[in-house]
Amino acid sequence: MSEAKVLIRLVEVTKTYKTNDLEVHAVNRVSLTIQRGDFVVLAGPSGCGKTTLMNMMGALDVPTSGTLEFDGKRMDQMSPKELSDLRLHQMGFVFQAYNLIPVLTAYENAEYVLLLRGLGEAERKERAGGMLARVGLSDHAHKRPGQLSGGQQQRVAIARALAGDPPLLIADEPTANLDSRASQDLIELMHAMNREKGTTIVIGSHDQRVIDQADRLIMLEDGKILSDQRKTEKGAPE
Amino acid sequence: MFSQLLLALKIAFRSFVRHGRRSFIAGTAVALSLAMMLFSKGMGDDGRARMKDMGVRMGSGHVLVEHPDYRTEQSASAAVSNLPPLIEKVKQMDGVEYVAPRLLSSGLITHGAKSAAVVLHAGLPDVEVETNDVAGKKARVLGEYVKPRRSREFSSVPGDIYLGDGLSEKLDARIGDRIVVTIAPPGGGDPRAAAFYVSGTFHTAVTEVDRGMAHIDLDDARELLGVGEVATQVAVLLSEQEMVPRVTEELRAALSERADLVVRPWQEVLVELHEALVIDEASNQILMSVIFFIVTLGIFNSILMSVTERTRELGVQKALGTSGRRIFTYVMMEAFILAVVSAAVGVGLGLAAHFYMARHGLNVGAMMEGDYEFSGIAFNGYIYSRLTVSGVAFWAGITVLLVLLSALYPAYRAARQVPVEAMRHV
Repeated sequence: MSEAKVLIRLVEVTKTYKTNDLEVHAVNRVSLTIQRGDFVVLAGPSGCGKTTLMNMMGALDVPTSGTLEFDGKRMDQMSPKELSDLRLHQMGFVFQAYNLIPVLTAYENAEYVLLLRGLGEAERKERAGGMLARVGLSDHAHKRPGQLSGGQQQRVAIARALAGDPPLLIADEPTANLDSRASQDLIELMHAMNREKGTTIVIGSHDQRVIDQADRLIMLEDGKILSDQRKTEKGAPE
Repeated sequence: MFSQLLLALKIAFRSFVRHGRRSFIAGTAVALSLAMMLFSKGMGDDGRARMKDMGVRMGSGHVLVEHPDYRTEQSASAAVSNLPPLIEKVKQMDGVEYVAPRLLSSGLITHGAKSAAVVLHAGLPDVEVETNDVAGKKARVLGEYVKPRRSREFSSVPGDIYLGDGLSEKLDARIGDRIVVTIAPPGGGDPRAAAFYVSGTFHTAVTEVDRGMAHIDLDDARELLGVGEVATQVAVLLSEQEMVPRVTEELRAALSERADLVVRPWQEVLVELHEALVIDEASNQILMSVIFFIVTLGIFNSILMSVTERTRELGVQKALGTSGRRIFTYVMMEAFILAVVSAAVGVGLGLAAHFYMARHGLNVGAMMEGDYEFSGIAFNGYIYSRLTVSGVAFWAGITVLLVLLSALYPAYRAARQVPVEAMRHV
């Protein structure tokens, strides 16, 4: 495997939570590489460690032990400011609970990351407006999250995550609150971004419809990798 | 940069509006405290200014020129001489309205079989009615003030004496009655006595003044004491109280060659009144500081609650790449909006109260059911509100500053949140 193609590398990563005297290994000595352009689904039952693993990949959480690299740089050696910049410029996030900023409109939510990056108004308008159009929400651009349905909110979250054109998109249970049609649209959009822009997609899900769309499927159980398969040309995982 | 500042302002303002009830309660507490502070300051400043004014108009003047030993000897033996050039010099100074030479002495006053100790206050009647509230119409109960000696056709005719109503009652003396004043001359020797006719009586509500003071003409006092053209003090009345420090310094410089004179501002003469006013102002400020402190705690609690409630929201913003510094700015910006809005409302309410009280005033006499004695002066009139632009701006600024200070810790806490932990917050 070419080193230049590796976007994320995890080596013996463990995340342990302590509750009173009890230690729980949410992620247990996981080693893994994600390559640029991968479309990966992390699957497994609830509590298997999907979210914890993705939080660490997304620089939202730090491992208890082990090393984690993004684009060849050790994330555990970065300052909070560097981690913040990493998330801002290199990553996009889609959360199960949408997590839109309630006081901003759909357009302003989509524009938020672009503003933080310091982009000019014209470029912001083009990117945020374009992404909202792509998720079919141009007519709802001036509505606040409270005025949108769950599906619409998740589409705004997708627009926000992709408007900045990040190299990596991390989505945690993105279809959990969506109907079949909306789920299919969302997965298709992610595939399109993956194909068109080479965006690396990492999705955590136990939704079979999402799992079926994976190019690479990593099965987790009890914080460990159970299997790591790539789809064959015929379509079924190896 | 500007668009990011606009974003911070937008998020802060919308959060402020979104949590309307909390913003309203916190803002109302701040606004009412500021309004109360301005009201209290306006009334307090005017009350104190009037009391200072009454103090200086009860005899001391704004600035007093006297003999260095007068305070210890308290008699005409420590008197200021060579008066005309001194008075002329003082009159030339900028801001001086009146110069009142006075001769104070003590003696015995007798009417028939009744007698009492008395402090004799002698001055120029024309000047006294303008500069001394005791001599003015406000304090007058019966009759008239002392007529100048020079207006009498015969100097051998007894002069006028103006008595406190308590003294008049004690002596059972009426208007026109003839009374005798006996004093010990300053150089020693046999007591000297002179007769006076009671021209009028006054009431100040300060018991020791009403029961123990009498006014006579300066020339009559000099004749009675057997002294020349001297005075125990020269009171200087200024057009404004604020001029006291400047005029005191200028007088000290101008009279530096006269070793027989000292120049004292009213604060050194009316020590008790001055200290009482200082204590009154300080205690008022302490009380307001306590109120502000309690309000600040309330604001602190309100902003901390607001930040805690929005832990998840702020965590999401951090997850998207918002730096801790920017989160800090959002919270501080929200506090700033709260501070500015509530300070504006507080200034509005405070000024409304100020303008009402500046026009209608507060009748202290009616509130106290009579005279209100305060450190040697009696207050029985109205007090009005007086505020300066700088005073209002100062307290509005303090209010904004306190709200911002109370937001520092909540903002710091919000900025330090770990995104993944904050996003778990329900």
